[in-house]
Amino acid sequence: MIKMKNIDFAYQEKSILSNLNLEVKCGEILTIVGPNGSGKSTILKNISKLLKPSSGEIFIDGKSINTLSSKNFSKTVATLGQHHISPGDFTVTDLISYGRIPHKAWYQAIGNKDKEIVDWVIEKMNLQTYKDKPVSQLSGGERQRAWIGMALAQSPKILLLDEPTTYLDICHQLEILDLVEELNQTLKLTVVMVLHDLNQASRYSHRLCVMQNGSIVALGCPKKVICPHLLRKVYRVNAEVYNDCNQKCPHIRPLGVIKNKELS
Amino acid sequence: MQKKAYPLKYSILIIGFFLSVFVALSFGSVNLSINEIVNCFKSNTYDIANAIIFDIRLPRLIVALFVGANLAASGALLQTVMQNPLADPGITGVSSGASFLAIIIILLFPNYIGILPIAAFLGGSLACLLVYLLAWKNGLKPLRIVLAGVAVNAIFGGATGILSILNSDKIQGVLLWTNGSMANASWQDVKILIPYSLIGLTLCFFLIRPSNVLQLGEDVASNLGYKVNHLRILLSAVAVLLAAISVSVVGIIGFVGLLVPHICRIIFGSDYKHVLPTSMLTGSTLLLLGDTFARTIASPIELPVGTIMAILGGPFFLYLLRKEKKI
Repeated sequence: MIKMKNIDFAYQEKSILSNLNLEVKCGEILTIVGPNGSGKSTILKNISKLLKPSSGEIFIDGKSINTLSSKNFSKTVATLGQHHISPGDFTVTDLISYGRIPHKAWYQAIGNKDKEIVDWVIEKMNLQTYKDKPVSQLSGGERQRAWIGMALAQSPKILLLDEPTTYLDICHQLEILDLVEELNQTLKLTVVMVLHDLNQASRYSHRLCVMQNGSIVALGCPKKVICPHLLRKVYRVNAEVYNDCNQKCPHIRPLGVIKNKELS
Repeated sequence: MQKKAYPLKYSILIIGFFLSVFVALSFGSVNLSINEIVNCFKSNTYDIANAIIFDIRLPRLIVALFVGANLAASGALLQTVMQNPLADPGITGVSSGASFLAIIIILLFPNYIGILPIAAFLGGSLACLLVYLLAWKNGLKPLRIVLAGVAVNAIFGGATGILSILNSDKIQGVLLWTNGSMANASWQDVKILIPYSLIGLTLCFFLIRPSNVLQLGEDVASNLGYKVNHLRILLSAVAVLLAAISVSVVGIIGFVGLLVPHICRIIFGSDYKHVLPTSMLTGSTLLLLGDTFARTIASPIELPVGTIMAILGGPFFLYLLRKEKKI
């Protein structure tokens, strides 16, 4: 589905990604994890064309993303960044309707078919009671659902989410991740996201991609990837890893930070 | 959005607009009643009332209408494209850039007065480009745009000052013009103003959707399939055109572009479907009233309408600076 080939990315002469190769399979949830500054978000931004790799190429369905027009690209890939701004009085319905723009020529108005899709998205996102409320007056979790709703209204095949649970309480975090899982299962959406919480990442992803200093250090299903050794090496954290029988995924119990001298 | 009261709000706006048209035609050194005004439009005889209306007040009214609409629309576009509530053609230096090149033409190349609007457009574009270059550092930050605007304003203001001193023999007309005045508005000005204004104002209506999307941030605009840099150039170009054509006819009138879109946003909401048309109408109304006020308040002395707008707009600018959390 997505193929990143020999990607280098530098920002103001500082190398962020170096010779990165990554393949995302159709219909999977791939979560990118890693310490702060390891290049997680940069990968997403490169796939979403917000940043342009210094060298290398990215393919979607076998086509280089440089050959796709911005409009066609946005019909396939929907991206949700970390920070959202919207004028104080834009309603949930307004916001979700904007997701239909890639499907419209500049002179075409939002039609009845688009409105049906918007209504469907509102229902899917469980936002019926809020649909005429300004986005700025919603709670964090509802607001995040509205923004995911906009991405969903694009009718994409691929959903890119940059830390979709940041700033949310635990209940809303799980709610968002359940929603992502449901979208993946029912709509066969391919999802690539960045998460910080390793337990949530293990629980909700088919595969994990662990980053360190701009390179991938581990890639595969959570059970194989998550181990005390990796946590020591990548995060400088001593931890025990249990096997969670109910969820069929590894569960981490952190024990403490490794001091610098212990490491050497 | 407060959708329910739209018909009422629009009606009030339109009634206000026509009232201001009446006020502008009626008040002045000679006050005319409705009957007298209507008679002027009916009869073909040329009397004093007729002369006042057709030679003086009507061209001035039309100039004020278009300039007000242009400046307000220009401000509305700049505010979304620079993602900055404080953007307006005056503050960003677009007006002073346009006026600088226009003054060069007026003072040094009076034979080429015909290309005044084009020169103003080039000057405005140059100023706009400078602001982007100065303010750009990992994206546009509101405060940096205002600071860059101050710098660009200073550069062009200084250059204009030098030009004026070197040509002090021809400066009288220019002085009135740099303060923004419609005292000399003629049918000739109307002829220059209308075609460019109509182009610019019409283009605005095609920019409603991109303007809305830019309010959600660059990343979102890009995610929705827009080429953000192309969009920036397009919106800026239309904004500069509207400001420059106004400057080339009446000089610098500040704060209309800042004030009006904000008032309209408070009343009609942030959707540019409403912000742009209501700003145009409100801009016309405000400038008409301002101009009528400017020429009657200290009669027989006429004040430049630009100074009136500055006195009204300055406090409003400070209010926005304090209120806006983002800055």
